[in-house]
Amino acid sequence: MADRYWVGGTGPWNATSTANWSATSGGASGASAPTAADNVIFNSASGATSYVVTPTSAALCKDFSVSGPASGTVTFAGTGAPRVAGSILFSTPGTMVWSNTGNIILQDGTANSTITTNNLAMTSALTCQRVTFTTTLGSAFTTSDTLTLTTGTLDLSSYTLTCFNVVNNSGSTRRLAFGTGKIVVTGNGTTVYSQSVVTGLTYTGTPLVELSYSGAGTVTVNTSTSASAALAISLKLTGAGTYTLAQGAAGNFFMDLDFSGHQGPTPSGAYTVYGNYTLSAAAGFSVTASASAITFAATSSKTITSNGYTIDRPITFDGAGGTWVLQDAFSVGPTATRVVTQNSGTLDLNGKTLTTPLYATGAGTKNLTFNGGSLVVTASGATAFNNAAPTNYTTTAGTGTGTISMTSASAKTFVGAGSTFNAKLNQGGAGALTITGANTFGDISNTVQPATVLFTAATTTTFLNGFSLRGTAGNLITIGSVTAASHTLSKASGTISTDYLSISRSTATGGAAWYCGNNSTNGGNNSGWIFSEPITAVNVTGVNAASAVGSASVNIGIDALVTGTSAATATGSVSVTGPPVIVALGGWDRSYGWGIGPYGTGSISVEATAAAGSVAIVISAAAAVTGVPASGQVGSPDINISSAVDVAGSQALGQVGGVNVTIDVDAAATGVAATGQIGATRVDIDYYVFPTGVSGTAVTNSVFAGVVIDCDVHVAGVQAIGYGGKVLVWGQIIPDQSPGWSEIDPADAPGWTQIVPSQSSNWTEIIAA
Amino acid sequence: MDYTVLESGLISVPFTRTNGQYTLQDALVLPRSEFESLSETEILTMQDERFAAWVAFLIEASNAPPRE
Repeated sequence: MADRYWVGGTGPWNATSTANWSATSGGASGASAPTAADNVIFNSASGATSYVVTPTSAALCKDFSVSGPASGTVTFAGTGAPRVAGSILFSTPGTMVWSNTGNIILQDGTANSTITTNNLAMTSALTCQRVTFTTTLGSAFTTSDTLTLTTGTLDLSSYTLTCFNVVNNSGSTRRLAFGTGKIVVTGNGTTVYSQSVVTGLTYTGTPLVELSYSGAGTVTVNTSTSASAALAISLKLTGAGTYTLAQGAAGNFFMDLDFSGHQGPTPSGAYTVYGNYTLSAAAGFSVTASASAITFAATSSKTITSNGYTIDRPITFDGAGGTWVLQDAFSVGPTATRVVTQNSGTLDLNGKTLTTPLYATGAGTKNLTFNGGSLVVTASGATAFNNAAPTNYTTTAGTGTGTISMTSASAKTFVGAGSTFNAKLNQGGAGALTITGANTFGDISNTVQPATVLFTAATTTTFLNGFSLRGTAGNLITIGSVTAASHTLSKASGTISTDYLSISRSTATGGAAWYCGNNSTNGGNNSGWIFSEPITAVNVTGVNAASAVGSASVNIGIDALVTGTSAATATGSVSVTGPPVIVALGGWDRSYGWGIGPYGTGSISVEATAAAGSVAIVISAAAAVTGVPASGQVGSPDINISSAVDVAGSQALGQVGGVNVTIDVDAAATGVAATGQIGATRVDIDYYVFPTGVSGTAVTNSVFAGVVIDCDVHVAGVQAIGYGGKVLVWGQIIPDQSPGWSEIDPADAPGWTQIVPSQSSNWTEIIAA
Repeated sequence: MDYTVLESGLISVPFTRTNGQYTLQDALVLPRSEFESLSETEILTMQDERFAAWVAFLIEASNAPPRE
């Protein structure tokens, strides 16, 4: 191995001439021509001024280093180029001209090597045919000729390799390591990227090939027909060309396919895309109509961007584990036979609209996710929507409400095959819509009327969220069966409210209330439909009657909330008619006497003051009753309880008849009191209760706490103060506690039952202990 | 300014330039003496010139007659 220095300026570089080679820099010429083991060096001592080197194809070297002459430039000319077994370094590209059109062949040397041209614009082809050692770019590399990878590894590192075209189809073992670099192809009129034979080929990194041509004509890319994601390049058309992008053979495949800068037509043959798919937004761009399918075969999440262009080709989604997320509206057609087929993977409409003449499913695990997007099926016929392979077919609503709209003006069929469609099926065209299969939908609707929707007889169609078919006056939506037998529509709960339907052979069931309004037509053989308007849920607030009014009346037929209902001064009545369902009452204010009977659950507060007749509450459900006072010349607060409630603060004040609390169940009664000229304070207990603080004060008739049946009670604070009539604690005495006990009737001991101070002058206070 | 000293002793200054349509990923590979003689502005200018020359090359290639 030796170094060979170029001396003497202009001269040939071949295998034999010694005229320009020296063993030392600037030394005497006459050294032997370099071999593949010798480094060649062009430097400032190689020529005082500009000079020209003319290699031949017999030229050889190991490392090939060039820097400029003392002044001027060094030009590499001719039609032959050296074979290089080592590295290339052009350290001063500003003092170099490369007009040579030969073929620089990189052949094996003794070590890995680097090509650093400092992106000098070259005109030679570059052929990599090393076997053992790797060639790595040390800078961008640009040539107007061909890059051929025959054998070995070419590593782009992070740099741009620019060439006219790439030939990568040797069939030998070879690796193109993209790293984070890329290849920019400038060519046209030929196959600018060819890997028609992928045998022996390996890609690493992110294989990105950009086409920069911006003219007319044809640019061909051939990626072979042996579709493989691992061997797929990403193709990006950056040049604003009007050329036709052609395929080398139908069945080519790509990773990303990005037409974003293109202004011409796309390939017409079938091809497969494993990555993102982006159509151009530029004017002049077109997707060539073809019966050949575009297959999306991703196995991870990818995007599809149409930029407003329509694809008149069949589309197939077939990538196990793949997801395609629409970035904008995706339209297929208008040829009526074009079909979007889902074999495997997830198609995420992502809130966008996918429009296609036909839609079908194929074998595989597939999912249609809506996320508020729409699938619009435009064609007619028996398989417009054809769930031909329902096994492992799922749909996902995602965010928002998705729609499948059948828009043909001719008869069309939705072949659901019994799947669940978490979306709204829309009758969007004048042609009759036939639905086959016992399917489940989120909802069903129409955007045209009159129109017909026919279900398959003897099947049940289930709706999860709603039933929104609805016509207009004179434009009814006809609901019927395909054949002369009934179908079933089912929804689990809620109220369906629609109108302007013409319904035949339809059984509405499932638990929901099926109201079809006052303007629908009963065509016969129906069941479950209610041909009227539904009662609508209401909230009632602020119903007031003031001064000398007759009455304020609120009639409630269904669930409702009533608040703030009141009557003041000389009011006839305030009436709330209890509904057949739950009603919550709050804020009652009754200033005069009424008889009321609200019932239900929640918090009930009733008050009567002044000359009221009575306050009465009948409670038949769980509730808490507080603050039921009667004061003045009122009859009595009367509370009857038959359910688990707590009663507190029921009071009678003044000339009141009495306070009565009757308890039949487990309850606590506290603070029941009568004060003044009161009839009686009475708590009757039939169950396990804790009455405390039952009292009568002043001219009270009696205070009574009684236990009717045999059960545990705790009675405390029963007292009568002043002119009380009686203090009675009446319970059952167990004979075992006092073997000599026998029942004593009050009549047997009249002095015991009623003691007044006048009967015993010494009596001061008897405590019932 | 990021740079790398190569095994050969040369200084590699990688850079990326784009005009929206074309993007070049390249490096200035310079002898240390030259690198140290240049200011950062001069290096940036060299990078711009490199990119402009490359884009001109692409445009020239596009304007060339189709190669059959």
